[in-house]
Amino acid sequence: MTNERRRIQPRSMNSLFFLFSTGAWVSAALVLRSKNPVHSVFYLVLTFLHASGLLLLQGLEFFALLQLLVYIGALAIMFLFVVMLLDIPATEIVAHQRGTYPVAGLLFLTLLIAIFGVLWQPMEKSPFVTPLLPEVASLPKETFLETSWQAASTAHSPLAQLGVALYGVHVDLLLLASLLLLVAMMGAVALTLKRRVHAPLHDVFVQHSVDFQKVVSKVQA
Amino acid sequence: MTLDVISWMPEGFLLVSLLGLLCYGINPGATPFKEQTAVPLYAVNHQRMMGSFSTNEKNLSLFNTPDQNMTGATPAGGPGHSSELLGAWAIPWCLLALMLIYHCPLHTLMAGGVFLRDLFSVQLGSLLWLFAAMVLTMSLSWQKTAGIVHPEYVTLTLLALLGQHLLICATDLMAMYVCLELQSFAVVVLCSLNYRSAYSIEAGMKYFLLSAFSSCLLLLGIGLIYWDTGLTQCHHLVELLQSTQQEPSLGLWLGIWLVSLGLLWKLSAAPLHLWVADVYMGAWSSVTLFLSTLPKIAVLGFWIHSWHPLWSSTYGKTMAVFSALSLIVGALAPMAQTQLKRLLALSSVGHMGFMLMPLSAGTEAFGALWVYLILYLITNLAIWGLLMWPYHRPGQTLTGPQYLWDLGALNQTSPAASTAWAGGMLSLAGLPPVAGFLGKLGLFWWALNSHFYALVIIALLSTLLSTVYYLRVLKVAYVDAPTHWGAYGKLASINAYLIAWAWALLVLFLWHGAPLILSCHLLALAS
Repeated sequence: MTNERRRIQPRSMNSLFFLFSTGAWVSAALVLRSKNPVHSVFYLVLTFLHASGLLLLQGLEFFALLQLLVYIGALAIMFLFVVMLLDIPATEIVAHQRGTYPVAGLLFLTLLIAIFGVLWQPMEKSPFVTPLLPEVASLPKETFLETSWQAASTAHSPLAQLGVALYGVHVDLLLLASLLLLVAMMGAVALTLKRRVHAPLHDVFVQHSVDFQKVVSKVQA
Repeated sequence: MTLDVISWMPEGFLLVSLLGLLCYGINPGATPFKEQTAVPLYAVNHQRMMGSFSTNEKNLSLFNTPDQNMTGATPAGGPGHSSELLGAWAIPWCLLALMLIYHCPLHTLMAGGVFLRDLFSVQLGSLLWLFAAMVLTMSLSWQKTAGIVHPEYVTLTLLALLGQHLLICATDLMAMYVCLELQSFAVVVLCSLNYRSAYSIEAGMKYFLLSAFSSCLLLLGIGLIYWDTGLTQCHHLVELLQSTQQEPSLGLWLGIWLVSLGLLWKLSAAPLHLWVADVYMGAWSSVTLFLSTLPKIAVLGFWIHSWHPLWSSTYGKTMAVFSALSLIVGALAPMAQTQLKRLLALSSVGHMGFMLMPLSAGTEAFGALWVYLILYLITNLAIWGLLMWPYHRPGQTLTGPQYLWDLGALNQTSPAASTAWAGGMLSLAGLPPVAGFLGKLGLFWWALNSHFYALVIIALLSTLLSTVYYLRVLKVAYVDAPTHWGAYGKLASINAYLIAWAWALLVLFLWHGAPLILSCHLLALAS
């Protein structure tokens, strides 16, 4: 990839940023507002797509692809499965939402304070400096590569370097992570695959409301 | 390349043989006969079952339990029982792992440089695998009594052991996280495998949610450390801390605090001990034996191998606060408990308080820590083995003794059992003729040497108060007139042998403790 191809005009960069960030905000708001939970998940997918676009603008192409693969391909699908399994009637959702307004208001206030702190830095020297608009991620016109390792660090794309790191240097951690997934798979099947007659249904609410003292006296009698 | 293969040969063997065990160790091969033991299905509606007998289950009607429960075609024990078969294979697997790791010729960094095999990890890993073999031996008979039909029980135990072994070898934060999560997840599933019991499901859910929360904080800590320094290797962080003593960095210190909190949560140190009682009570006793001993070896091993210089150069003496809180909780909380497993769970918090004392005292005290840990392991093996004794309570399913009064008149019914309980309880209390006193002696000696007088006073008070509830168990067994009757079933003979050997070690080690003390001193020198 030559430097010329990578140079993007600042003006289009800004408009793309505005487009993606506004789209992400709107999609997130629609997630909260839609009455149908399946629609909420669809808008969540849209939010992830916009976030992926923002990552591309930052120059993190591997992260953007990973976002599409993991967040949309795995997480959003899982959300969809859970929503479809739960079978929540829409009127129930609306009824429960009213009680959460105070908590949501408190969290919104916290968010406002955080945004204020981020944008107008009250302290003189702060490690968390965030400009209001992002700086354009453009490469310098010529980079003078002094040492061999500087040349090596830009010779391969970040994706290739990540591949070498994940599958070459830290393959033992990759194998351990795969064993972790094996545990998760085995656990899910072992805990849930059984005939209903073998597993009694536990009423958790009743169990939590049981008075311990009465239970103990029952056993002793 | 050859040296690389030799360096991770034990772990490679473990993985390949685990695969072999999964393929060939679950279905019993050629059996000369088919065992006709019946699995009584408890907690099932009789009405639903009446009209649904199938033909192959009718043949087992001769062996029905007296209350005419429906029987399954799967055998409950013997070579036809897949979980017990795999468990029987797992014991030589652990012993082979022990031999491979103890005799590994190359002490070096493994593979990507995040795992280090040196004298410390070899010695402590050997202890881990040896104790794991004993835990699995003890669990074999419990699989029959408790009706464990999943072979996944053993597979998850073995995967958790692999994670724990690698955690001891870990020197990097990434490796620590992956190994910790591997063994946590396996233990979570193990805790909740008993889906017939609401307590078990509650135990699994609580352990999962709380461990996920603490792992989130741990990961946040790792993220903060990496954000601030760009390093994850613990040795590099130690060097960085030593050279930047004058200007402490917020991200690094906060990260170290959060990671330490995550590790202390796993160790069940107060104030992060709240999960212990419900989880220990709800899970099968064999799982609780595994859960109360082996993760502690692994996490303490990682702490002393790699993490201690980081903690002691940032927060150092703050460990005394955790230790004191754990001692207080361990002294007061079990007083109100009548359930034996909850009592032991909360008292294990107190023991953790004792084990955290040398972590605040300094590096010379680690020998005392290992002595205490080994004695605690032996005591736990004996006590949980005694809890894995089939006990018939009229009208209830076959489990072990649950409540304090189940041990009533034990001295009259089974003096050997009451002697074993006495040895275990006195060792937990730390009273002189039994070896628990040796562990406490070492800890107090080193704490006094490091001038932690307040901590020693709290520890002495905690010992005094905990003696009350330990001796209460003995009072119920020896002195009190029993208020209710139950019948003990037959204890498996290998369990009886292990309990007897553990009891003998506990009685001997206070008087002939030199081998133990010297080998623990070697372990401390190697760290």
